[in-house]
Amino acid sequence: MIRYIFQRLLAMLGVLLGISLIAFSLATIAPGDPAQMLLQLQKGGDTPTAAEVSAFRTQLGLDAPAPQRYVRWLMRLLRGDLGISYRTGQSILAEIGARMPATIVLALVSLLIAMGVGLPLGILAAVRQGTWLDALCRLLALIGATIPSYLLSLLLIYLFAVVLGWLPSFGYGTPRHLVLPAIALSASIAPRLMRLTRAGLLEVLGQDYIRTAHMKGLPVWHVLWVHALKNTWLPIVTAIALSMGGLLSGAVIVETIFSWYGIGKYVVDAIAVRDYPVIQGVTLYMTVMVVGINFMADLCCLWLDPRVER
Amino acid sequence: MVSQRAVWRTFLRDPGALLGFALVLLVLGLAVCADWLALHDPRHQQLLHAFSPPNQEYWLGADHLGRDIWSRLLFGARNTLGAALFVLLIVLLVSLVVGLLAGYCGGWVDNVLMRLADIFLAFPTLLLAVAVAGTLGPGLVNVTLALSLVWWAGYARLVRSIVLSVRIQPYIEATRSCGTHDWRILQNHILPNVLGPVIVFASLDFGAVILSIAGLNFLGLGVQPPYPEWGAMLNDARPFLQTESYLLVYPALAILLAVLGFNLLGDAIRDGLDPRYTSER
Repeated sequence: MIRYIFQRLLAMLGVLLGISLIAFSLATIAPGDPAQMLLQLQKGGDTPTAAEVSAFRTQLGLDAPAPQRYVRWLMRLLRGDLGISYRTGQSILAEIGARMPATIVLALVSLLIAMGVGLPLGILAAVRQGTWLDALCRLLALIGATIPSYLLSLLLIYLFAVVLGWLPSFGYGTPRHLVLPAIALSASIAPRLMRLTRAGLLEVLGQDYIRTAHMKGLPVWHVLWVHALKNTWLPIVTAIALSMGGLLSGAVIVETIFSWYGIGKYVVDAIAVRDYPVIQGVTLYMTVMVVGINFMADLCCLWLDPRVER
Repeated sequence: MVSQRAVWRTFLRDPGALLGFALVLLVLGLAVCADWLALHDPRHQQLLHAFSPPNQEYWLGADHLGRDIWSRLLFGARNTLGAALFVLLIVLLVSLVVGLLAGYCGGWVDNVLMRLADIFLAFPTLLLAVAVAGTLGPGLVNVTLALSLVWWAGYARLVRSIVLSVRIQPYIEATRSCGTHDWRILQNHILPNVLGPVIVFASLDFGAVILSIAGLNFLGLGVQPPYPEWGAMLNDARPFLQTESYLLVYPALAILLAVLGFNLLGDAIRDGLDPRYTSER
């Protein structure tokens, strides 16, 4: 088991290194001269002379060849230095830290809603396979998968904020502000959770030991909860972990629409003002987080079912 | 293999498939014939007609700048669907090359290419697309490139897995022992086996690609004003949600119907070409 964890850890380190390389290339394709942008920021908006810029570039080490710059950048990264924002001159890590709680709250509440809707409907559809209930659940999943989050957000705002006036259409702060964005975000992953739950449970329900349990005369709910669901958890846990990437991606759009003070809106705002270090920093931060979550899900699967190790 | 007639029979019997086919034909037809069907230049502003309700001159009304919505929808279809088509073409091309190389060569080539794919798969898809498109700067070409960049890895994995399963077939070994060149084996024996499943996958993905393109355009990363695009039109309508909410309806319907059509058609193509799925669903 330790060996398996170690192998996974090693593979993850490789992926993380690759991710850092791609994030680094992202900065090299960005137009504009970082030295000039940063110097302008230091001088309070005055345009620096060409000589000043060139001196500053040498001072920052931007003249060095790319591999050398990458290693230096990686070293700073390992110390938790994501650079500073072109727009505010603040540390990007600090700015991410300030916005992260909002995104985490939004993502977690969305995940809870998606699980609250997706898992029971998936179980229902599997148990009543082939009936109108099953068809209805699958239709709902199809609709949920067809409507993109940006469209659903606008529809929710129109219905609950404009027409009914029950909830605020955008903003951040109170739990009331959380309702609409959380629903919009959860709709992007609930259908997948439902389908995977249904498919996983159907596979288990078709197995011999379930038939044996039924033949022993055990109550249906007992067979379902104790015998069937235990073996369905694995794909569900994996699906939940994999949906974290979708949630954080979706947060980019949903937070922008609802003006939610999270890192999704942060990155879109940064794109509007060409704040390239922020784009790079947020991408890197979110991806590392997703990779970490997937790793923990792997461990969780191992704990749920030691056979995973193989 | 399934006979062609059987495929057509399943297709014609399935109402979902027919609806999907009709929708796709309609949307593509409108996009292709945009020049003849449009009543106005989609970029032409007539501020006097701003928010004009539907009438003889403006079939679906006019938007906040007095531009004809019907014409904008038609030319927007070109941008949305055209970009989606290009994304899938690039993805297919790249993934076929990468997947065939990785699967057929094996060894360190396979290792390097698949680790590369792993890295791209680790990114949250849309986030990487947003970051790349945002860094490259706004424009439909950059959106297309960004989405291709995040989409190829999954396909390359798929191609590789099929190549691996085909490569060990006895007839490939027989061909090889006859002294057939690797290149010829790839082209004549392996590629045809790969193309079917990959095209099925691509047709199932078309709707998702459309949604992503419209999403990036919605964020303002793609087509720049005054050019029309469905996602961008949604974004244009956003400030008028309270007062002129009908502006939202047309681009929303366009996106939904197109995606629904492509999804239904994709399902039908999969069912027709791969009968294993039909019984299960």
